[in-house]
Amino acid sequence: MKLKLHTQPEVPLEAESITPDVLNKLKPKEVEKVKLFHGNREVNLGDFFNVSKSKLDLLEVEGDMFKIKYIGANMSSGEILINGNIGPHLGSAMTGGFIKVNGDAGDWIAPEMSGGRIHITGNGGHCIASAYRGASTGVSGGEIIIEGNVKNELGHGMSNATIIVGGMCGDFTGVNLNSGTILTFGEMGIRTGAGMKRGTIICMDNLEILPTFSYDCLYSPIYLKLFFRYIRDKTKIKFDEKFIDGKFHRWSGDAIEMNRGELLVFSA
Amino acid sequence: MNNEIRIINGIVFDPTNNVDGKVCEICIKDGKIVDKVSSAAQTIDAKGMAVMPGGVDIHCHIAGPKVNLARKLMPEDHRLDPHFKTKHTSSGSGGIVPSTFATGYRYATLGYTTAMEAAVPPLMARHALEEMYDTPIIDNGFYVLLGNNLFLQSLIAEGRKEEFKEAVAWWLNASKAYTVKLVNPGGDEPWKGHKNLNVKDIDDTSKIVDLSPRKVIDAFIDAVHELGLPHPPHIHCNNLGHSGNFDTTIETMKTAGDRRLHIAHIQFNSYAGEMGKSPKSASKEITEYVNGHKNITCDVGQVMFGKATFMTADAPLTYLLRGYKPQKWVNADTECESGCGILPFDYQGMIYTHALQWAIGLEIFLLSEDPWRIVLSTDHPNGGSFMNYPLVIKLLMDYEFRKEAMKHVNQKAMNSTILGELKREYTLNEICIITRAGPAKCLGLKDKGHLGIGADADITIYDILDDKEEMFNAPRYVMKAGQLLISNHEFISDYTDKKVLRVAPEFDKSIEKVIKPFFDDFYSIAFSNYAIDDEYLHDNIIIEANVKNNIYEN
Repeated sequence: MKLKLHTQPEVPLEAESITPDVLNKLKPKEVEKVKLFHGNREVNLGDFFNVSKSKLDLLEVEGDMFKIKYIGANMSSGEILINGNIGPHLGSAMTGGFIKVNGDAGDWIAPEMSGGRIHITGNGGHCIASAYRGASTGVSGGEIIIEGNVKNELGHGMSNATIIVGGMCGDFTGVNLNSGTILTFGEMGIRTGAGMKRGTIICMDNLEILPTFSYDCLYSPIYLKLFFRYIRDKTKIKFDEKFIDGKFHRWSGDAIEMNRGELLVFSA
Repeated sequence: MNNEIRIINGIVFDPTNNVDGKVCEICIKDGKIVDKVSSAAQTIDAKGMAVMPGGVDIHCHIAGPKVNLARKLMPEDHRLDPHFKTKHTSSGSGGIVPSTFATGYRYATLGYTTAMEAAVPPLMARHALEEMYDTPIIDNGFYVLLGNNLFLQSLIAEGRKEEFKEAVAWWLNASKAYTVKLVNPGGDEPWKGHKNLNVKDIDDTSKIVDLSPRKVIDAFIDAVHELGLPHPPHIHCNNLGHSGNFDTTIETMKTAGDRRLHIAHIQFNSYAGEMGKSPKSASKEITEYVNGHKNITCDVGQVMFGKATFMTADAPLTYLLRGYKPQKWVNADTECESGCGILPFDYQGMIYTHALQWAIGLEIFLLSEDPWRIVLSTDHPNGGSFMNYPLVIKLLMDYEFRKEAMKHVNQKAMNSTILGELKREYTLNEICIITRAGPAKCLGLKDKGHLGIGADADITIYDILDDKEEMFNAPRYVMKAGQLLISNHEFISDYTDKKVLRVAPEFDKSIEKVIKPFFDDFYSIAFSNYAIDDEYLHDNIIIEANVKNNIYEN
């Protein structure tokens, strides 16, 4: 199935129905009649997208969709390939499957995700894989790869997921982290890992470490060698081969929480 | 418009008028129950259905500043439970502390038509009244927090009894409340003044005003009696939630002598054991006293497993509990009047204390001999949402179900209670008493909680089903003041002509001269702006004073 955006929505379009779970069972004619919300008005999918059959066995979506929210929401299996920029809430509460974005993504990507994979080749916005306001935990599983830069609050309150960022991060990366792994290659904003309980944040670039973190040791974790090889094979992120055998400073924190989180900073 | 309705063939439960499951006809005209209506009246055939008065919730937290704070504190809870707009009802958000609209609708879908907000600081009474006006369908009133009012405490300490009574009357008028609520009397002020200091005993004298909680309670009971309010002081006892607090509760009840007193959420006050250690059940001692003293009424405050929110004026208690769930909590400022603490919470069946609390609540229900003086409540949202009421009813009405439920919770807790031995099952008539007739009588509401001639036509009609949870979860018809709101389980109207219930005891105007200097010195608000004008109120009704020594004399 292939969807091509023909009309740019004036206000955000809530496209919760654009998932393989809903569309794979339908014929192109039926897909055009699927209901979406344009602001507070109900519209047909066909009002904004051309629907055609595709040779590939996946859901292809094409166009500049920075105003389209909730694509792949509650997705449990299958694959979505997005060619173009995508708006907020991509893969909201997804439990499985794979979403690939060849372009940039908006804010709040993958809130409450519990499984599956998201791969973004461009940049990401704020609050990626972050808990909603008020909730203590948000993402509880899955893998998110962003090859470009991201903004503030990456992985806020995250548990048991893996995030890889190829570029720079904004402030408050991994704030209130419960568990899981965040690996970043670029420059970091301030207050990385503030209030983290457990989990791991791995940074290749030097960063300002909060006073509530304490220094442990300099070592070379074996699992990182595997991790880097995985990144090299799966993504187009270009990184220095020296990281693979490199040594890392280990800091533990945050002392205002349980002090069981770790911050690994590349040394040489 | 024809405003006459006739309900035929229904099995009527009206304990106040000694009607227990009799098939008879009920006629309604102009919002009241009358003896006959014209032949043009709309007829509802309630064959095989139970006809009961509309439910009355004597103790819940549904409006006011702390409820709103709890809403703001938990956006994540609202997001998971949207309340959608329909043709006849407005939208809202649900969760453990629903928005005003959702609160009204959800109470109506359980067959409740009256609910009393249990704690409002007088400073924020305007806010509570505004929210009550926005809560559709149900009639409301609120109890005003005076138990930790510094000025009133100083009057008690100085023995100025007459002035104290006048001041209480002034405060009730100024806030448009229904009665006096005492929360941890004498406990909040020392906590606010000194770090985590609380009164531990009813005869303890606090460090701020040299006054024991007993003196405060006694003075308020006296004042309320002399003013003749329809409902006695509503007390949240000292030491609530602590192990070994049942002594304090019994002492509090003894303080009342033979004057009336209402103990709120008594389950939280019925723990044996040592303070600071695991609690044990003291439901026997408590129910023994309540059974033997007709002047005492109480609501249970049943704990139900799942989400809850502690929401209380007992700030020291919330301060203590925040350690058990280190996430987020709020402590709000209420100046010289009271305290406030809010903490989201989960009750879990596998945890000893939570399972014990659940069992103690049920024990109190089952051990109490007089259903008229024990009221069903979960202290919404402290023990769980009011949406749990049907499940509580099922637990009370079905011994086998209760036994099965006991198997799925902490066994150590179950073994330490006598819940398994209690085979009593509530009858429909008794359920009707603890949810409707009883609370109406405790509140002194003569027009509510029964179906006699002249009563308000607040009526609920349930299909009689074997599964009592299902039955009480979805009434087939709900009527408020003679207007049919729910017909065949669906809302057919959003009737918002509802009233605030309040009292207006007379007082001597000269008391204002005594109170004003205190305001000038300590309050952030000018004395002239404090009291709420009568013009400010929307529809309201003043309940006549008639306090007696027990509910049977009403």
